Amino acid sequence: MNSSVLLSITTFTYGLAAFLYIASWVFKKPLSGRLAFWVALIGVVGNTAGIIMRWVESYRLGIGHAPLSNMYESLVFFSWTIVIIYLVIERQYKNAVIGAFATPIAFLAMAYASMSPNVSDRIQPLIPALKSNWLIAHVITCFLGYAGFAVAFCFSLMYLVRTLTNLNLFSIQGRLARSKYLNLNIIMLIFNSFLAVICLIVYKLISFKTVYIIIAIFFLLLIQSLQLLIYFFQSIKRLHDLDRPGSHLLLSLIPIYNIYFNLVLLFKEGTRDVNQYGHPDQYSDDTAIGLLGILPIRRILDELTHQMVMFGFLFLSIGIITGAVWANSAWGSYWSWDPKETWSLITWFVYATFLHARMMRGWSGKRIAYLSILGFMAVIFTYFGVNLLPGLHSYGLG
Amino acid sequence: MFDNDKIIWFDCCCPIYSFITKWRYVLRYSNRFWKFFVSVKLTVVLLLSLAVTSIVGTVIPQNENPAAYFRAYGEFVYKLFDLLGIFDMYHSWWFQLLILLLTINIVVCSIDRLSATWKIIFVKNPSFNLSRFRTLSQKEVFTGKQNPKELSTVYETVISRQFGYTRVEETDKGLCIFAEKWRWTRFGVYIVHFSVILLLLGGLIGSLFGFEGFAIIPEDEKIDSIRIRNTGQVRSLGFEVLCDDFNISFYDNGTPKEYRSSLTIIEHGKPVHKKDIIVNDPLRYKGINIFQSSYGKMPSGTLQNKKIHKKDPPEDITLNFASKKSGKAYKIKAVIGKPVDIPEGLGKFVIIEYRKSADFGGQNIGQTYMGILTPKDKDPVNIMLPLHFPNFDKMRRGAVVISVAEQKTKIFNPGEKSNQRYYTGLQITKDPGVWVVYTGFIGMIIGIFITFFMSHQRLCIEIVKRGKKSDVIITGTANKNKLAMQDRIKKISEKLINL
Ligand code: HEM
Repeated sequence: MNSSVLLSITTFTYGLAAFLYIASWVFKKPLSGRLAFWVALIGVVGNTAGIIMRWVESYRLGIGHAPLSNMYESLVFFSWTIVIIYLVIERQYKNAVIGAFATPIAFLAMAYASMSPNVSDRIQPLIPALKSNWLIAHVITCFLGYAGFAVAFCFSLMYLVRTLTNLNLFSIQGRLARSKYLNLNIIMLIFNSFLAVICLIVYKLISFKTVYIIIAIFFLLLIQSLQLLIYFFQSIKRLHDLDRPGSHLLLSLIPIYNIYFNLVLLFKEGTRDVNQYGHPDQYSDDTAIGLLGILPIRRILDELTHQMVMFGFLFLSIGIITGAVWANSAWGSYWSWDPKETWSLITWFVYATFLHARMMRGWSGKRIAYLSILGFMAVIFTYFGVNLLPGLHSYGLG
Repeated sequence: MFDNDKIIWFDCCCPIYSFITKWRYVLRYSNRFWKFFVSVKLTVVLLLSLAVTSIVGTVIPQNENPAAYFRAYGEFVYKLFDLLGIFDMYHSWWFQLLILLLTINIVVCSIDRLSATWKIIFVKNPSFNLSRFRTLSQKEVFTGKQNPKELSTVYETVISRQFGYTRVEETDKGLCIFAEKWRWTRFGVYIVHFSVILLLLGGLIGSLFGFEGFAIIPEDEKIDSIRIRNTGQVRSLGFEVLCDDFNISFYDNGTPKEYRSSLTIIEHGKPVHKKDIIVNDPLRYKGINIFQSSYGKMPSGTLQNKKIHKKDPPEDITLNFASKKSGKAYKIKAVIGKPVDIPEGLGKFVIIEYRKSADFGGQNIGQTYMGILTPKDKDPVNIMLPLHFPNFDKMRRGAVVISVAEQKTKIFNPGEKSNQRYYTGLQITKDPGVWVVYTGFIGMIIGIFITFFMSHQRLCIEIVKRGKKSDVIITGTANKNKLAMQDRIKKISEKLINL
């Protein structure tokens, strides 16, 4: 067995853990959650062994270096840190629901690393510029930071999910507050991005038989039409909130105007008092029941987000700094505004905004969750998107 | 009366006092300035603006050839972007202004809050507000088996092991042990902000007093000056750099493994320093850093013959004229001594001679055509067109970039070294601000760690007499991470129960 095989097995182990965590949440089976913990732990062990084996293998090939030198290796390390951070948190807060959000990210990162054709899992020799201990420090700290932000993102997402208390997905009765509607939209957007990544991986992975393709398309259509239905129902309730009949939803078929229309749906405050469709939608409280009730209460989610962002911010700062020191030792300038550098700085600015907004302006809850999600988007772009931009940063390409 | 006299006396005679009053006066009038910059709302706005505007420079490539921009964006957009400095946006006035505002924001904000924090941090005898501790909802309560006096002496020794400062006070109901530690961590956030200022300051010092240049040195040759990046100016180093040897090694699969230049620093004709440099291991001498950055092969022929040959040019010379204004490029055949008209009315150009090996600022730049460009309505300028550096004339930043097209160079074949002469490409920089920046780096890491993970913790153990025994009530506060403080109090309580 070589490291690639082991890491592929790890990928599936994380997938299983994610599945069990989600099942434990959705079907309210604590046993499944406890099982998931052990599966995730086995995954971590496999992940660790895989990293070490890869290190050893590189020495056998005569090009020994720490396994942190390309996209594949950094993604593997990233998943490893996410799961470890998550398991520590689970031990501390004794709430397995968090895993339903955290382990899928680790699974996706691993799956993308092992299966995307854009990412090569070959052990490559180091080009001269990458031979530096600063680089190792840089990669490790950056990814610790990213992992912290990823977990913070999970908490923020859970926060948004939790604000949807008392939301009946399949009814058009009554009214819907704008913030709930907005949060629902954000959640659907994130869900669809995840789905897109999964589809991409699966599509590239297997050369399909026609049957499978038809089944897959059928499933996707099912999911999408379900979403469309939900969206349709909620938009009608949102219109009620604005004291307008649901039939106004037809206005969204008018091109150009529908942009304005959607902005109104997202951001316009509903009528203050009782209107013909009922009382204003009280958009939040912590008396949630059912699926949402199992999630940690919002105050704790808020606090956990903040803690993970602090963890991430410390390590991102160290990461940027060690990167600068490395650049200075390799090409004599610690900062040159290349896109990768700039994007990590942008990420840093977003999280600095987060910290100040929270500490000094007293922001909390929803707005903090939005900032944390925005920050994680910046992280993702720093990592994957920058390769699409013109630039010099050779590192990070497959 | 007496008081009034005293004040008047102070006012006229004590320079410090009058200074302070004047300062107040200034302050009052700059109150609006102060109010504007003291706000954290401004910080949030500035940080987000920096984040958003920085994106622009990652989407639009920076510092490229104007002609390329012109071609890509068309005239109108090009002019607009040029006006806004978008092509070098991180050095544009508005981006620098944002950074300046952030700096003032940090300074003003820090000064404003520091006076308050200072008073909290530097007290000899920290004051404890017992009634505040009593109102805390989270507390640990148990019954001690001895009277308050005995308990307090036992407890104090235990607590003083964990907390730096302890004090026992009598209260209306018995005794109270106050303890605290890490008061100074309230300072952490100022270290972070001060570090940000250091980073900016170091960057400023670097851009004012440093430089970033490059040089090309063929093996066995030396240079004493370099070319500054972007401006193209020549700058003397104050010493000579000799390249003894250049070596490149490869992995089995053909990717480069190591570039190594053996350099010698020569000062006043004497070698004073010798070092092999590789990527990531530069040579540093007198504040100047020399980095391995590129390499190449010298044109064959220069090895045997370094003299200037005036008369054996290649037969066909095709020149390439790239107009900056229109972004178009024109290929025109030329003969030595015969002027050609450059399209778009950009002037006349004539090649006056061919050199097999030309010298530029002490560097050998190989085969070169020497020419004279006479722009319309302007004085003629001397132009060098080295065959192996097609972008050489770009550095002049003229209205037209001239280069030699269709040169017949051999394709470089790695590994082949026999009889081959290399040149090494060096990045040569000086940055006196780098130590300021590095200090900022260290400060930032330490400061963030202190701010996030350490807190000023205060503990209050109240021991109330109840018959022969005592009630023990433990409470505590921390300025940060209050949940962890609750845990700590629980642990302390468990420890004290068992004593
Ligand atoms: C890029 C620049 C900046 C960075 C990296 C930065 C970083 C930080 C950090 C890490 C904290 C601690 C937050 C916490 O306790 O969780 C903080 C707090 C703070 N920052 Fe900044 N900051 C920056 C710019 C500014 C600016 C421009 C201001 C100006 C108003 C400012 C004002 C404050 C204040 C007032 C606090 C709270 C201090 C306290 O707790 O007493 N910061 N900053």
